[in-house]
Amino acid sequence: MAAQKLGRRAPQGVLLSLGLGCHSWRDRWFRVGGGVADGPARRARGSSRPTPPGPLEMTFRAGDLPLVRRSTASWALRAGMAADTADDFVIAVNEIATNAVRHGSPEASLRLWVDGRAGLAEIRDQGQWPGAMAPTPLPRRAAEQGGMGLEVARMVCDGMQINATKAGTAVLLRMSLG
Amino acid sequence: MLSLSSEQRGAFTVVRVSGNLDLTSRDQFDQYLTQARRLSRRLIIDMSDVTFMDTGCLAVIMGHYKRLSASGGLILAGAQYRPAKALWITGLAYRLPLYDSVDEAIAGVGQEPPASSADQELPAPS
Repeated sequence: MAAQKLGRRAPQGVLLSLGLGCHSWRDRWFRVGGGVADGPARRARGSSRPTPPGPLEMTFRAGDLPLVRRSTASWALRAGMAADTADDFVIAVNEIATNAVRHGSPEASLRLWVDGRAGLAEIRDQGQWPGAMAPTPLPRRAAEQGGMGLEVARMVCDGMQINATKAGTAVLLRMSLG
Repeated sequence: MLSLSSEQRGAFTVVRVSGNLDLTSRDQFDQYLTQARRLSRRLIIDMSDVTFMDTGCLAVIMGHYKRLSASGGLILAGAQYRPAKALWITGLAYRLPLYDSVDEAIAGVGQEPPASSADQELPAPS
C-alpha cells in the first residue's frame, strides 16, 4: 500500500534553472541549501489566490497508480491549476510513475510541491530505464512499441528534467500555475 | 479496475471497456483483444466508459489496429476527450478511425469502404 504524507516536510531545497538550455543534467539540476520554511505559505493580505497546499509525498507500487493519479489531481487543483492543466499534469505524472515502477524499481516515490508560480513533481526510483540517460531524444519508434510516455510528459509539461544515475532515476516535472 | 465484455453486432465484435486503462490493466486488455481478434477480424472498441487511458494501453490498441488493418479493421467508438486525452496528445486520434458511438461506427463503416482514410495516400495539393 502507498504511504502518504501530506505537508509534513519542507522542500529539501529550491530547484533552479528549470528548462534552461544547458548541456547536461548536472548543469541544470542543482539545489541551493535548505532554509525553506515548513508549512503552507502565508496568504498575502487582500489576495484572492488560495493558500497553496503543502508538499505531498508518497511511495507507490504499480497497483497504486490509480491512487497516484487521484492524489495528484486533487493536489494540482488545490495548487491552483486550471482543470485542463491539472489533467495534463496528472497524465505526465502517471506516465513517469508508470516508467518508474515498470522499468526502475518495484517501489518508487512521488513528491509534489509548489515553487513560486509552478507546481513541481519529482518521481524517483532505484533503477535505470531505457532512454532516460540518452543525451538526445531516442529515435522515434512505431507507436505500438510503446515508449511514448516520456515524450508525452515532455510535451504537456512546461519543463522536464531527468537525473539518471546508477543509483536510480529521478524525473522532475514542472507545470505553471495558471 | 478494468471490466471487459464483448458482443457480436453483425460483422463486428464490439469490445466494451469500462474503467482504467493503465499499467495495472494493460496485460488484461492486451490479452482480451488478442482473444477477440481470434474470433473476429472486425473489432469495435467501445470506450464510452473508459475513465483513464495511458500511452501504454494506447500502444496496445495501435498494435492490434495494425495487425487487423490488412485483413479486417479496428475502430474506436465513444472515446471521450478528458479520460482518453492521450489519443489527442500523441496525435493518434487523427490516425485511428474514431466514431462517437458504436451505432455510428457500424453505420459509418457500412457506407465508407476503408476503415481508415489515414492509411491512404494524401491527395496531391491542387
